[in-house]
Amino acid sequence: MAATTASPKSKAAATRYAQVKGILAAAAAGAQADYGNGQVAFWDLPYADLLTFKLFGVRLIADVAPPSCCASEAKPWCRSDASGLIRGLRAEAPFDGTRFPRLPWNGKPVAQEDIQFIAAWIDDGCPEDDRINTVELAPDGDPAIIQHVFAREIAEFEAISGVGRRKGYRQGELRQRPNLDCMSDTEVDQYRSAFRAIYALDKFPEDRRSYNNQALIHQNHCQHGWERFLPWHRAYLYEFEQNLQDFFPDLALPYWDWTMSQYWHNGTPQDGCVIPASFKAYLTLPAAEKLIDQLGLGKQSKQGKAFLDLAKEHKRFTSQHDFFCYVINTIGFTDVTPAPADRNRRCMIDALVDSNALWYPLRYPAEYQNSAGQSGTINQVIHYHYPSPNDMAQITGLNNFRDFGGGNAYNAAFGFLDQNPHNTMHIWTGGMNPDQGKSAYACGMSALTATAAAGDAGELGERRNAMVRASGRAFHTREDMYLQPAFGDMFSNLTASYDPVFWPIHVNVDRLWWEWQKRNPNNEPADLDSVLSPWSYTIRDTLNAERFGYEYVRSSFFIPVGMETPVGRFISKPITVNAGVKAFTKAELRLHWVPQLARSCFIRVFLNQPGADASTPIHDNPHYAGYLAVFGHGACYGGPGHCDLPPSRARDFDVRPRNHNTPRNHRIDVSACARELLKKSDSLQITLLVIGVDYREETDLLRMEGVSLNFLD
Amino acid sequence: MPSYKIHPGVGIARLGNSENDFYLAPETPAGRPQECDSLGNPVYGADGVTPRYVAHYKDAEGRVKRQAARFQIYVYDEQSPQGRPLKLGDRIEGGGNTGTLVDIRWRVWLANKKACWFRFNATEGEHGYPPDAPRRNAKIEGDARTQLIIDPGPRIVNATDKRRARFDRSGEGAYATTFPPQNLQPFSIDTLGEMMTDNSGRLIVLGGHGRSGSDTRNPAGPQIADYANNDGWFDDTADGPVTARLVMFSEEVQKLRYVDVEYPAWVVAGYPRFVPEILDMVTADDVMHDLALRQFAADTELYGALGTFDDPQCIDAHNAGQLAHWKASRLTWNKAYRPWFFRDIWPILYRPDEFRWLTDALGQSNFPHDQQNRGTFDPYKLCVAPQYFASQEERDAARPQMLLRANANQGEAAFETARRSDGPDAQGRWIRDDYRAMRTFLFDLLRLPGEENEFKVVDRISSRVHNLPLMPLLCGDNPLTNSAPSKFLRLTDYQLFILKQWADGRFIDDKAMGWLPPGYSPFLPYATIPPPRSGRELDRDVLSNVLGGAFCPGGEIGWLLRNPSIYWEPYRVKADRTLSDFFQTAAQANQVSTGNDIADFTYSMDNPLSQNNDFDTGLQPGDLTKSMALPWQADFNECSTQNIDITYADWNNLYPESVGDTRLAASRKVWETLWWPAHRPLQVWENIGGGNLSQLDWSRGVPQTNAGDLKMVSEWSKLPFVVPNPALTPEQRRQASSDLASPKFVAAERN
Repeated sequence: MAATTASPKSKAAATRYAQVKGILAAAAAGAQADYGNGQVAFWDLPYADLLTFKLFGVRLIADVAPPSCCASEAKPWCRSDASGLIRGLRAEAPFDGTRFPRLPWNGKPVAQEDIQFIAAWIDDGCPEDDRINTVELAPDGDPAIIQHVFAREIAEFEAISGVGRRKGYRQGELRQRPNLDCMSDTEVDQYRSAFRAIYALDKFPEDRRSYNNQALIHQNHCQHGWERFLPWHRAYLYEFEQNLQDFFPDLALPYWDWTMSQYWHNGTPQDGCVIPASFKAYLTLPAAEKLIDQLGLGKQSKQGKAFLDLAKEHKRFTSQHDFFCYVINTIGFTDVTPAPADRNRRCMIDALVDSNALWYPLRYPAEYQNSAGQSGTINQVIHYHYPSPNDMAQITGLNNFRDFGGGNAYNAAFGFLDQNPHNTMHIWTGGMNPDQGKSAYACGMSALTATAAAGDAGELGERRNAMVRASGRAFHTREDMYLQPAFGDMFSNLTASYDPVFWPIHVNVDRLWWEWQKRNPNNEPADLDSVLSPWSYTIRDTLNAERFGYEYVRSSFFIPVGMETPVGRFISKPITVNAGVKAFTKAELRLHWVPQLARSCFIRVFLNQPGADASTPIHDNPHYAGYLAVFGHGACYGGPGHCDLPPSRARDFDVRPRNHNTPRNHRIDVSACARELLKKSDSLQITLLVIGVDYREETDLLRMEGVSLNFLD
Repeated sequence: MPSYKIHPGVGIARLGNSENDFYLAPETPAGRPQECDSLGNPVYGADGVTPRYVAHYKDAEGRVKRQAARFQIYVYDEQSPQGRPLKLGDRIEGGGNTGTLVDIRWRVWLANKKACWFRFNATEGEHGYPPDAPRRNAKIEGDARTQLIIDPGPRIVNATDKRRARFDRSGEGAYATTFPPQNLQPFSIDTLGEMMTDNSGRLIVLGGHGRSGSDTRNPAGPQIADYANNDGWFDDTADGPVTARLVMFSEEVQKLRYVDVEYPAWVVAGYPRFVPEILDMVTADDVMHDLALRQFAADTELYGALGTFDDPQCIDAHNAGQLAHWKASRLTWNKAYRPWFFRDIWPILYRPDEFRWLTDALGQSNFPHDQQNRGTFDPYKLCVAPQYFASQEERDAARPQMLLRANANQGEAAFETARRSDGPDAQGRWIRDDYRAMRTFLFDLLRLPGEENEFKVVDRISSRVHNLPLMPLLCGDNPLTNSAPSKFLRLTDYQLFILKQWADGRFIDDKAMGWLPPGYSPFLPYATIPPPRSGRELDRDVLSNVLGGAFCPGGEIGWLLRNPSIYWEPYRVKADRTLSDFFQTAAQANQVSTGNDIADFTYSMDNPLSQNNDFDTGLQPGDLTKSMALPWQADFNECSTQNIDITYADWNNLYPESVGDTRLAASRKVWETLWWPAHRPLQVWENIGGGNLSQLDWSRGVPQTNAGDLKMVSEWSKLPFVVPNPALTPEQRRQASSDLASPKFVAAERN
């Protein structure tokens, strides 16, 4: 508590009120000042008068009650911040010289530490005499808040296990594109299965659904370096996502937020996670067993056991170089060379590809060498740097589409989003193959040792498309996977989309645009009528992402309820919120598919207060998150069936307006409450109360398909 | 996260016929321009700190020096939320890069669109033009009208190897320029000016040379037939967007990286300011400040929705929906707001008396704004705020023995004060407010909104203001035609509000509070604080030297200045960014690093500069000044005084003969009204030999006729500048303007 920390020892004998007066008197010493109508030293006013004193209309000590609205989410209301005295001492408006000068007028500025002391005194309720408290409170003593919770026996609802996200979307409901690093293992496995399903079609060259044919669209048509970059890729992602949804209807493409702390790693991204764990190389147990057979190692042999341990531990490798060096140095299996024809290497590549459909061998993340063969960082060799969270803030802070997403002149109008993070992430994940042309694996030092590399690689980043050859490749065949090219496939537009890491990067680019659009609603590309080949969408068609049926939600927890019976009071089981999710900007509670209610009601939301009931206070209660008002439907005036629930999907050719009784979806913003609670806790438990117009609980009114808690970026 | 902004948001260059000499635009209200070297570097005194101000406004050959508009970049970050000037060598970041600022590229596009625009006709067009509104040079039709725009194209300079560029016919090989024919009479136009960088990377923009000419192949030679519209004529005023690209060296990747400023600024090249150190009654800053408050919610604690002043709303002026919602609320001024007398009120009251050095009309009226002898504008009385006492005894004890009635200086004001009822107010307080009547007298004479066509106070028979002319007694936006007349100038809503607060006693005497800067004198009332100042202060102070009314069409910029649609935000003109910005995006520059990307590429332009306005998109080069008079010298010459017909408020032109109305013809009334003496002086004190001063016509030899307008095309550069009287001591300058034997301003440098 701030109450005791700012108190200088020498002043401990006096009340804080007396100390506050002392600070002000000392700062004003010798200064002539008139605080309105001859008032010379307002701090000498009687205590009660001081608390209500207005200096030319400005309350020097703010009232206790916070303003009814407009409290900013970013900075919760705080009495000292609202007090004219503190603002005046800090020279904040209106004491910034516009209305009035800094307080005390004509005196000396008060030291920051002393201002903080006065602010703490105000925030603690301006105690007139608090010496006893000062003594009794421990230095950092935060007295435990004892809650008297008398929870009724009400069944708790649990979030869907495994896949946290909504399943079986209703007609018209947007798919939620998730944060890759906030997905459950089950969700990631489904994502892998989807890729496997379309890899499997590669053997039918004419099937447009196959992965290679999907990737070929990028090779032949992709748009970069001008304003079509964002619209074209939005359409491309949509088409690809639809293709996957043919196999997995609930799947939405995840995004890779490359600025999360595990990647940015405080400015040394090469030492961080480098690429998402789900895209790294690892061995599954069946693949490892098959591999040691092929390598002629017994299950009981030391090396065989080491391979099996790799699988059991799910040990992950960022690149194949890392993997082979581990095999040679740690497992001690040395019968392998970088040669594409090397049989043992081929077996190991096979095993890794079979284990993880998202891993791709022609990918050398964060590995770079200069022309002398020395390892270096992306900064040293490519003259690019990994995008930091601050970089992204700079770019998303741009105020016109041309700078942000590109202009309408080809080859002159790169947008920053395209150029810096997008190009950089291609180069970052593609990388340069440290084993190319080598006869043996050079594992003496890590590919990323900090040997300072001379920056002589020319404009590698700038000429990245010239580096990678697409001709003569048989993409996604095993022969192709064994190759040792100089650059990773992500390095070039021609080959990039053959690497599955292409997708989460581009989905994130699209998300950044989606969020930027919300802040810059009328900021559009110039040539809205231009067609985006090979489809028939125009740029204008891509501006509204909703028509493509998705939104971005960092993380979502869907709690099925079922519409069979009304819910009296809804209490969820605690939902664990991990650190990555906690950095949300908005937390939104959604009630899904709520049939028209017979009577009007409020629905109150409490977080982490499972015992809340109709009498639980909603003022000054940190657990109260918000409410929703629902208009009742009232009695049906029609005949039998008039107010029945309509079928969940309209019949063919029924193009009449939506049925009046179509269930609703409701949203409640719980950001402020959730953010505060998550500072101290790692989980949230939702309580919904249905409060009737008589302010008592309604237990047989609300029905719904489910509740979801959504965290948005 | 820092952002980078160009300040001032609108910079003012001024024409001059000197080939090479120029000085820097004043950056304080009524400030004297600053001396600079040929690269625009400011010159300092011996101590290396004190700026040296311009001593001569004309060069050795007696030609008028040009005034340079100077632009600089401010950084806004957590350390400086109000901004601070950015310097070469500073750390910068943007677009996802961080580095050291090694260079600044500036891009400016000047144009003059006057000859293709609509004929100026008073207030017509302020809110859109009717379909049949006539254009200037209407005989020229179709694509040929493109030739009416003087368009030298964009130019780029940097702080290192390309520090100067000219807005000439060449287009620097990168643009297809359009210029008028080369045989204009009396002067042809080959340039709209030039731009350069000073040694600190600041941008210096110079306008044209004041050359105006006509290409009419009339055997009688060039002719002027109208104050604002003359077909065949061109002049070399101009305006256009200014943007900048910061060049950083990124140590991280050992490469140059680029980032653009947040939004372009704008430069206007107007005609010379012959009285640089006297402000107009309403300045462009007054207009802009009022606009910012009432249209852009710039200070919702001062002007906002009723009932929100204790907890002011935060309105994002860039959020059109939020702003529209705010504008639809019950907006009003905060009655609890207390202006400061010497900071806010006095600079308004001070201005009219200074016009005594620019016209003899005030002397002929016995100096109505006098501060000392007549005393109506005595700052030491007008500054006194009311005091409150618990009882009559306390109040009377504090009252000085001197009876107000005895002070002759207060004239009628004392009489009014003595008549006031002398009892406690509603809260039981006894008030001592000796000069209330002086304040209300001045306020009651002010022309209020809606009274633009009223000449004098009527129907206040019992008041001493009855029948007195309303103030300011200067020409309005339309004393000429019967379409939306606006005969007289009035102060802005903000000015009237704070004056009302003051008149009512709700103000702070900042002198008594001890809040005035050391050495303050009410007779040198404007800020003289040298840089660094905040970016917004620079925006405001630069515009304070620009005319803010009346606009018919005005001085540098016309009534367009008042249109909220042309702004991106207050003090920043909305630019058509397809024209204002570097053709190559900063991201592209990062990408290619070809080294020689200083050249601008305009080959992709597929339309010439527009003949129309598109405020939704933003302004193009030339759009801010195109409605001004063509050539500027015509209106400049004629804007001395105007005979305003005040017979009927709603009519400027009466035709009694057409209906045989002899009664009307006999009862017509006119008032010869000044336009704006600080922009166009009438009579000035001038040395007539032997150190003797006499008040003489400023533009003598140039009559107020069409032939005189034509003469002004070549005569303007010979006219004198009006400057502080060098014979006065600094102490004399700090005194009130009462001694006509030693005028504060005198004319100098007449050719």
